[in-house]
Amino acid sequence: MKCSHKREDCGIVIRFDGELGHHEAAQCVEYLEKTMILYATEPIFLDLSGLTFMDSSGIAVVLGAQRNILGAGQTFCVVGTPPTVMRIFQASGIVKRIQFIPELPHLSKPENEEEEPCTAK
Amino acid sequence: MHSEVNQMSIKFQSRSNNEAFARQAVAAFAAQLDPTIEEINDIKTAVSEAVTNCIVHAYRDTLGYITVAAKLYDDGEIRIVVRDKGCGIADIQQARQPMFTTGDAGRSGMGFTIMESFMDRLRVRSREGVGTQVTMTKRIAARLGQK
Repeated sequence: MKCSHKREDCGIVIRFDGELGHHEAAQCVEYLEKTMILYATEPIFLDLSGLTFMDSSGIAVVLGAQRNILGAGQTFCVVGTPPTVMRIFQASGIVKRIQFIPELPHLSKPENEEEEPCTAK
Repeated sequence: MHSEVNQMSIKFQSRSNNEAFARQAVAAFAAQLDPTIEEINDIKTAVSEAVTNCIVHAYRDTLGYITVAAKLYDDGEIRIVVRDKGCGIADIQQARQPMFTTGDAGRSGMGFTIMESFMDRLRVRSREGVGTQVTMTKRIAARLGQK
């Protein structure tokens, strides 16, 4: 499991790459908490597009992050969720509780193109 | 009646870094049934949930052994048994409820729900102080032009 983050125009993007099970969950939680403290006023996007596996431990990671980040008044979105990982969220019946977006919002949008802003708060 | 065509068994310590080993071993064994990517992911996820339960709940404050056994049948069914000799489950019905957990805040309580969703059948047998056995079965559908 590799955790990383970078600044984009829309906010801070935290990315997980690899497999996210119980063994990796603590590392992810620690990374999320540390990054959230570093960027306490910025929108946070959790990029799951690099995940090759996730089980219910990942659900707890995402819900915990959402609770903390929204609780601190920041914006939180999950972006790029692969279909295999999305099935875990669907089976758990919590899809409506999380703001999923297919890709990062582009702040400088091209002409004649509508943009879907991330509104989870 | 279906006939058994192959079986495997592995036994390992209840260390969390063995979870990936367990799910990948079962997935590699199940590959003999020529499952789709989605079916193999379902099996990996269900095994991961069952093994995590052993580590987090059965052997909460101790180290023990987990056995994972799998059998393949000639009609494309795989039967997976995950067994521990841990603390056992006091109330199986309650444990199988979505969002129920006796673990810490890092647990979602969705383990059994996901096992049920991703496998065809799930049976849980447990006795307090003796251990727990989770049996999961899934039928891998024969694809057109094969088998």
